[in-house]
Amino acid sequence: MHVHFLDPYRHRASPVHRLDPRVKLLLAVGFIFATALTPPGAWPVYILLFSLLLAVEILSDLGVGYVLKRSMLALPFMLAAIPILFTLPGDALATLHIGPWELAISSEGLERFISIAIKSWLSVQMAVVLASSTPFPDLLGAMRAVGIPRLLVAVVGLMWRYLFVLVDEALRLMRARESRSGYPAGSPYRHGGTLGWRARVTGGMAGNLFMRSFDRGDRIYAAMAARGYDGEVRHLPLPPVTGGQRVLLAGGLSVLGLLVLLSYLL
Amino acid sequence: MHHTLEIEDLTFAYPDGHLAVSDVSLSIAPGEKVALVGPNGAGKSTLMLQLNGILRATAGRVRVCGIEVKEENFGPVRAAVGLVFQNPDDQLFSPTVFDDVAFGPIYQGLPPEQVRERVERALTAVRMQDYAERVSHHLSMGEKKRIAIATVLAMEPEILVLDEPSAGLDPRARRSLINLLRELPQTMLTATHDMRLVQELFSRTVVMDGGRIVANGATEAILSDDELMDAHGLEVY
Repeated sequence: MHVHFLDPYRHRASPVHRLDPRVKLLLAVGFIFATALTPPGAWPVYILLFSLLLAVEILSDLGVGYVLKRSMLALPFMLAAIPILFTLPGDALATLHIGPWELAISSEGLERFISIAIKSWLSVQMAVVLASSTPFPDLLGAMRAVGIPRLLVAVVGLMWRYLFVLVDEALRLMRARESRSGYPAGSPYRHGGTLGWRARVTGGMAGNLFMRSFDRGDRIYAAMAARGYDGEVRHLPLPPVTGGQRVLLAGGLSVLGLLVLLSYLL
Repeated sequence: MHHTLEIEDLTFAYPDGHLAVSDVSLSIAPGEKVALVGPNGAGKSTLMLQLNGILRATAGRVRVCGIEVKEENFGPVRAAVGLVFQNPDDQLFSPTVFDDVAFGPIYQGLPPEQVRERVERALTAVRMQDYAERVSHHLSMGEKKRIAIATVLAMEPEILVLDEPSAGLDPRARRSLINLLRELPQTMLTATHDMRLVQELFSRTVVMDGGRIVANGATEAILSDDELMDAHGLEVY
């Protein structure tokens, strides 16, 4: 009775899965950086980046459809870029009338918005590939190895560990509520309760979950301190990155650098 | 006359393909109290979650009080079957004991005075009538278990399904729980590892292992069958 859908890792025997997690992490972050650095409207470079991404997706044996589906999670964040449509000065393409206000969509704004949408969508897909092809503990090890502050990695690791516990707990709470959401057949009363009451119950559940997480945090810390935790989790050292993988890393980062350069030259 | 609880060839597989319950058939007569025993992971809890449609069977069917457990009947089914979860913290999700016990009756749309009456009756049944205004979070395990049972009794179910009611209780709390369960008139299916509780309260015992029912009969005969008990990792102290 546990939640597995949260863990994005999908086991496959692909070259992308076999790649050293440190190399994979650096390449993925490099890709995201390169994508972010390209100027708006660099369409040819977007296409090149996308084909690079597609190649990795196909090579990883995860299925392009799977990655696309997962990347839809990023859609709501694109909403944050919508104001750009209206705030960037330029030729008005269309004008919206909302009550007394008038909003003009500029062609520059539209170009910028589409660029941001494409760039964030590409970046999210790469992150999906990274998370789906690397077991999370390996990813944490890679983060430590490339010099991300230990405390930050420890926080991410603990969050990951207890996210599942918390979601399981929320699931059980909801099951308990569902179990008692019944009504006798032919009852003369309208069932379901009022909206305000349902909101109060949900609020109570959320508060409950929060309080329990708080208590659990204390207990976990006590258990860690009991085993000698002093603010740093120690790990066995990772084996060195092999020569071939170093070459791959250097090559990959150079290609990404060239793509960024190209986007400014075009 | 219909049996109160009927399970026919029930099979359930989790989305990851793990077969938790396979080909289980069981019927329980009105007013009968049956124990469900078996090792951890035998499928007891999963089976219980089928009885009010929280989990939906992959194959086979369940009928409670003659109503088939399926989507359009979930309302009456959940009113008929009171499910008491193993961990009372999952069951008690409201700020105060009163709110929690009142959840079922309010959901059913009962008028306020009837809700209050139901809550009082349920709390009296578990001898916790002075706890209505208490905060669930601060109660002891034994108190929480009793309140959890009260939350279900307030719905006046015909069948009680309890998951490990005596787990984590001290001897006194366990004793008072046993007395409480004995007094309750409902048809009862109880999953437990507490064999002495089984001996004391239940005339019939069902043994589950590996998702299947491996024995079903008089408690005395089952508990004294050393070979059977041993084969399924069970012990009578």
